[in-house]
Amino acid sequence: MRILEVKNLKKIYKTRFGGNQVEALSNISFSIDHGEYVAIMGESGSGKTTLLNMMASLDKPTEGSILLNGTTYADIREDQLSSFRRDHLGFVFQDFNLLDNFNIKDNILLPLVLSGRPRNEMKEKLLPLVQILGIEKLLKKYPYEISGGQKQRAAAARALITSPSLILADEPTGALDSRSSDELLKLFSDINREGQTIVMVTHSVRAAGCASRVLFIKDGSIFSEVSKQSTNEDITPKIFNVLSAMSGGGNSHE
Amino acid sequence: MNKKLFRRLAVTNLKKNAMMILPYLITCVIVVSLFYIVTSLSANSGLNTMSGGNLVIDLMKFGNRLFAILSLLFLLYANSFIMKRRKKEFGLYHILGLEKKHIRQVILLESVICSFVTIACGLIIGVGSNKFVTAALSKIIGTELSFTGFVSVGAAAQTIITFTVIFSLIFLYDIRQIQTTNPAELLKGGQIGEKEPKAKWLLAVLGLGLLLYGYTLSLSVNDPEKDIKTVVGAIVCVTIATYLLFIAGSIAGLKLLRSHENFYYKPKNFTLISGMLYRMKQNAVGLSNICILFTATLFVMTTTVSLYFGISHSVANQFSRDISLSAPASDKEKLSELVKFIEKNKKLHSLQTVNVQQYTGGKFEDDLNEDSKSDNFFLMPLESYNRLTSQSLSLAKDEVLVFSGSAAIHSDTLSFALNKVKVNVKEYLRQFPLSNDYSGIYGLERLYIVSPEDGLLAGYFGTDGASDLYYEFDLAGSESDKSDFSYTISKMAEGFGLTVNSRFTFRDSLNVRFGGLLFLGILISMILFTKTALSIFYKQISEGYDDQERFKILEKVGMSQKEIRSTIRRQILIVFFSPILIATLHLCFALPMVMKLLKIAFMDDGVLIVTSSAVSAAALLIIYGAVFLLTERVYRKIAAPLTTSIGRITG
Repeated sequence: MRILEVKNLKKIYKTRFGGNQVEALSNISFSIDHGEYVAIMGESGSGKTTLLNMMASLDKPTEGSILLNGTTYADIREDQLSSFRRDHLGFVFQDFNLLDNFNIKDNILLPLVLSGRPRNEMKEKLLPLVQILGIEKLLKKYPYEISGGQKQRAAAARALITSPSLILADEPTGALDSRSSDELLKLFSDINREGQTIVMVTHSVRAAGCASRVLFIKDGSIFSEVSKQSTNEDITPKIFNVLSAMSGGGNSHE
Repeated sequence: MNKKLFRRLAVTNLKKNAMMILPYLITCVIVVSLFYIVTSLSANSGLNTMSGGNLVIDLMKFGNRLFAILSLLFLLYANSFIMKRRKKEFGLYHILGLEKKHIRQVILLESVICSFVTIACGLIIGVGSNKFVTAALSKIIGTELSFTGFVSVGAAAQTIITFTVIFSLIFLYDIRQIQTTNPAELLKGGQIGEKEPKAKWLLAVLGLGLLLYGYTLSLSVNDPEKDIKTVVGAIVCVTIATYLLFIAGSIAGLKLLRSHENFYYKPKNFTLISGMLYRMKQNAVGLSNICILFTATLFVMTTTVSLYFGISHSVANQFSRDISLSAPASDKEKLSELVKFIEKNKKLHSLQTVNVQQYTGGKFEDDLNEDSKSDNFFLMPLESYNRLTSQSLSLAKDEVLVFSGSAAIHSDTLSFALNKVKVNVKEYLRQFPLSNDYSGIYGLERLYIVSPEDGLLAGYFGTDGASDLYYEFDLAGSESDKSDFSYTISKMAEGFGLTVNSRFTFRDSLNVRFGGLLFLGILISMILFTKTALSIFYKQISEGYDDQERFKILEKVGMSQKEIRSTIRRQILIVFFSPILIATLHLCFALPMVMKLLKIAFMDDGVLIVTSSAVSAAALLIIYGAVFLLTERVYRKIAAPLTTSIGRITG
């Protein structure tokens, strides 16, 4: 089943006074099926964040369209967009984006509260989720009282609590030490195995290696694609190959 | 590092931070111009010569000092907000290689530019509006003030010196701020993670208790002159309670709301309550300051407005007749001459004398009922009483007739310690021909005692058989004629060395006094208000910056712009209007006390006092509402700009 479809996506940024135009994305198309775990790799400035923003409906493409569960983003009214995002998408950010004035429990419940869900639904969903993520002891704590890895797990819980069709993760391991990174990646693999679709933008080869498919973006278009043939296959060497091919294209590696 | 660079840096800094600095500069200009106006009025030669004018001069001098102190405090406060926001900027300069002494030079240049511009603009506005202000004051006090049209050099010099000193102090404060922080901290500026505020239940309960106690004290005041301790106690209690309630009570209340899960986990309340918790932690002191200032402003406005508009009431309360003449018995000839003059000249002014009362007697003080408190009494010879009431009563030597406005004194005998005599009260009179002056107002109740001329109390009457002679009457005719004639009589009486009380001359002098008070009250209210608005403006702006991140995250997590804006609006509404609401509540409970206080000035028109307080509160609320709308716009611009770029996931 197809969850997300990106068709001929193009994005041009204009500088504020209309002078220069920067093409961030040029003609990108791909689709993501239910239950997939896709990583998007690319150097800084390759356009991967722009792509993620548009998949998140936070930014509008100049041309092309994005469909989530068959609905085109462009067809959703502006005032419906937030609740659409809330109900269908879950976000995990590099810098966690937890609110310091909420404790962990309230941070996780935030999307449900904003949707005006009944109190018992919140209770029913919260407990099993935090048990899976191993943060049930942290519920009363505040973001500034816990470690980065714990914060990211709390952020993952916030993304998962609405049972979204798609989790969008933007460099989720970017601010974590290697142990916390591994834990988070294992967590992602676990929830993916349960059937959760994940799209993750990352720099890290180790993170991308956990995905079932990796898309490589260079200069605003898809450069290459690597997929696992079997669930246990280690695609890290393939990723390295593509990366060196990408950097060999005349540009020096960062 | 050359001077030119610093100059350019200072100018671009000011331009770049215009939105931040402009309200501050505008306030400075307003304050400077008001200061100049007050100072130049205190030197107005016309005020020197008129009755009550000296009070107005003193008031203006007081205003001048008050304004200087308030200016320093408030400008320092507003400036600290600006500095907090700009720390990052200075941190960057520091990293870029400017030394602290260079930054100091940049700030010095900025201060010099700002000070020069605001003092100059303030003086120009002050000088320019002086004519209108003088005209307004003339109108309020009902006497034409001369306006020379020249710039008062003394006032201008005083203004320049005062504000140069104030701005220098602020500059020194800024320098200290830069000096005491290291570059890393400067770069971070205000953005340091904050812990969740703790609910201090004890303090919250203490605050509530103090508030109730203060209100009770305020309501229990009977005679402000005697109960001065209670008045001060009430003010102190309510002030402390205000701080405690804002600091501890607000947080305790919000936590209480948060613990009600069914209430808290609602889209409307969720972000608001958690946001407010932090807002209150940072702003409690500021909000309590604003609340206290508001209460003070309302208090000043209520008293001055009701005093001014209650002048005719005060006059009527103090004088039962339009003109009252009095003279010691030895000046009998002079008094009859003056009366003759009045009779002869009243026709010239096309006036009639009506309600003429002529009597003798004297005002004394003694402990009559032996309760070790002295009582005021008016002792009138029997003959005078018989004449006033057209009776022919007779009394034994040790007998008196008594009229008492209060129920306090009702013993059968009265003792006069001074002359060591005791007299028997033959009768407590139901009414008395003289109106009981201001006995009904408060405290100063006076007994009227009628005694035979040859009685035991004869010693009080002196050798002439009477201590004082009184001649009182009303005038009938046009108001302006009455007023003119009153002044003529007063002048005559002065020539004779007699005492004259005229409602008209008294009203005019009250007009000057209370008008001056009102005028100063308006100016003080303006200053307090401008500064309150200024501080709340900066408060909101600095909060806007603090909230920026929060609202960005909220939008990413799925809060719509609309929801964010409604949250912002309600948050500002609460932060904005809580001080004024509490101030109004304070005023409501202070009103009974204010009424009793105003009785000192013989002003007891409750309706007028309530009306003036309501009008003052309404006026403040309206202007404040305008500031609110302005602030909200600026805040929203900062906290949740409507551009799409806000939604971008990473920078």
